[in-house]
Amino acid sequence: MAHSIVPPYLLARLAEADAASMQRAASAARRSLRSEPAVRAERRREGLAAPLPAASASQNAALKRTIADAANTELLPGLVVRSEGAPATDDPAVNEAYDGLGATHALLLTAFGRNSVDGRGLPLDATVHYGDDYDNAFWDGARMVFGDGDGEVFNRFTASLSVIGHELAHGVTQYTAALVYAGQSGALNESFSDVIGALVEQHARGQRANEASWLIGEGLFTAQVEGTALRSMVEPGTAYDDDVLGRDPQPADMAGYVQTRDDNGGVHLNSGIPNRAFALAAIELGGFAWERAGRVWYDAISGDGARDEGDGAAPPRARLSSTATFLEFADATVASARALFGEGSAEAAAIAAAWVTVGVRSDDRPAAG
Amino acid sequence: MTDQQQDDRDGDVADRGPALHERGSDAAPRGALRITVSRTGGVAGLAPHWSVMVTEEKDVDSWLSLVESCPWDAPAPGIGGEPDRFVYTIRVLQPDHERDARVPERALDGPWADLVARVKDASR
Repeated sequence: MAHSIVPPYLLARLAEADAASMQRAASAARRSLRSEPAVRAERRREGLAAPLPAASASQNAALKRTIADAANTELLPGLVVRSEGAPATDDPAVNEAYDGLGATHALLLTAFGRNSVDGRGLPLDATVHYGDDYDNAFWDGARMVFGDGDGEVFNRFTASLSVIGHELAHGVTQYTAALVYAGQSGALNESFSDVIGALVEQHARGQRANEASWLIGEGLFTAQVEGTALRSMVEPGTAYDDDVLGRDPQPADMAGYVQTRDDNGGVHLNSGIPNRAFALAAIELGGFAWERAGRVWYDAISGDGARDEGDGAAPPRARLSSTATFLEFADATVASARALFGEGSAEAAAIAAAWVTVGVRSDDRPAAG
Repeated sequence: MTDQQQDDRDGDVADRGPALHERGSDAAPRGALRITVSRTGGVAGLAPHWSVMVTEEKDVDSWLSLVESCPWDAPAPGIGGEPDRFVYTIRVLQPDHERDARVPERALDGPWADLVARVKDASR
């Protein structure tokens, strides 16, 4: 079931995208040196999305990836086996990690104008072959770590591009909203990682919202498991139904919200609720999900828009709290959509409607702005 | 969904291999020892569960010696874990004594790691 995540034709395309994104960042930087606030205000009046936040001209938007091999121990970082620019190795886990970091960097830079995980060109480090039959992948605060899976339930964790994007997005959240990893803020932290994971995959494949699977971790289960992926963003609770693993337990709306002490308050369960809100809004809006719904989610998490607004065209917005509830985050996305795309925009309407569908906002509630 | 339902689901996940544990009853018979390990978190969000029931006196002594070497009184982890890391919940049940601990993956070393590995092996 394992497959090459980034085929050669896409690698060529990504290389082009990287070159294009660097030009875009440079031109955005030049814009910001002129009169960025006026441009933002004018575009907002015209109902157009504000230009992407610009990486400063002095920032180096180039990738710097380093992949290490833990040789099935739990000792980090392990031995470096591939550095930026080095040719592919004969180890698929190494190459998948390398390509996945590149694909995630490409999404952050081209879609959101963000230069790496910290916005300042942080080198991207990963370790593969961590642990013995280790059934997991995680972001340890500084690097991504991938296990090989036990071969019974899980294949190697590098095999899913959405999982690679998911892990790096934990780094983005760490450097931005710093959502506390417990309860609702923890489920939002998880959900934002799924959103970025899905967008990385869609961006690399050139998929529009209505063409995407909206699955997280597709291909990670072995053929012995009855299931297609770890999670479904568009239909939470349907990703697997297996004799051994049981049924995908994610709720699709607030009526199914799970109260538990396990999993830091069910962060991997309740993330299904905001996940579905994102997928529904993105599909409703159509086109490439990273251009509209994705920009709004990123803006709400990063606080970039809230920080940049000093042009008097819109009231200042508060930064998202690190202990945000689902409702606070829903309000933040609607506020971001209005600021980026306009008060009466299709984006604001679709996003507000999606939060009502999943039971986070109520129909008659005037949206906070 | 309630905690209990969540726990029941965890129990379902456990049923792989020759099960030494008895579902539906956590109590250990007189002189016996029951140890359960459940793991939550991880990017997959699965909740596997392993369990062992020991009744032979010499086996009970051997397991208890490992159990007693674990740092049960260490401070509990604070609110807010590390993204996608595992958290282990370890319970030891004896007829007149019960204890449990929640151990984040990063703290699972020494006797905790030995205990979890031994329970996993025994429940295969």
